[in-house]
Amino acid sequence: MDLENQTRILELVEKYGKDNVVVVLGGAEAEASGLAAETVTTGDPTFAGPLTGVQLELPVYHIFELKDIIPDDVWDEQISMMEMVLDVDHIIKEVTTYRERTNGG
Amino acid sequence: MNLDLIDLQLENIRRRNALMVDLKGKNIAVIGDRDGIPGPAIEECIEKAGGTVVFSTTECFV
Repeated sequence: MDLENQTRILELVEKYGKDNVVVVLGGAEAEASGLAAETVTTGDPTFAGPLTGVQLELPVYHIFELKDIIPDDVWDEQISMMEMVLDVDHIIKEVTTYRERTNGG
Repeated sequence: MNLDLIDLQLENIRRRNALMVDLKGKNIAVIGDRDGIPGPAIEECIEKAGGTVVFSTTECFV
């Protein structure tokens, strides 16, 4: 996750509290999604950004995991095209791994 | 067994295993991806699901 976005996430947690912030990802690849999930749970694994060593333990989901709560027409319009071409199972597995490590799932 | 039937069964399994997440009243930070799902598309979904988007961005790895 780029450094500016890490800063924004940190600001949101300071403003709303970590119990009131949920992160939703839209990454195209499992690895990148996993890195982003790791960053907002156990801290920045690249040791480059402001979340280095900061365990926010935020609930984090990929949008693909939320299909059941999104109205079908909105899903079809906004997400379904990419759902067909991306490795949905791999992405979900990777994000779930980091969420469950912090008991957020 | 034809492929359509297999696809349908896989979809049913995925739905059964899906999380029941309630976003109503939650503050949502959206980290979209230009090559995946962009921020505005996720925003639309979250808002229709009752969540409040407080930050949205679309990352680009190029």
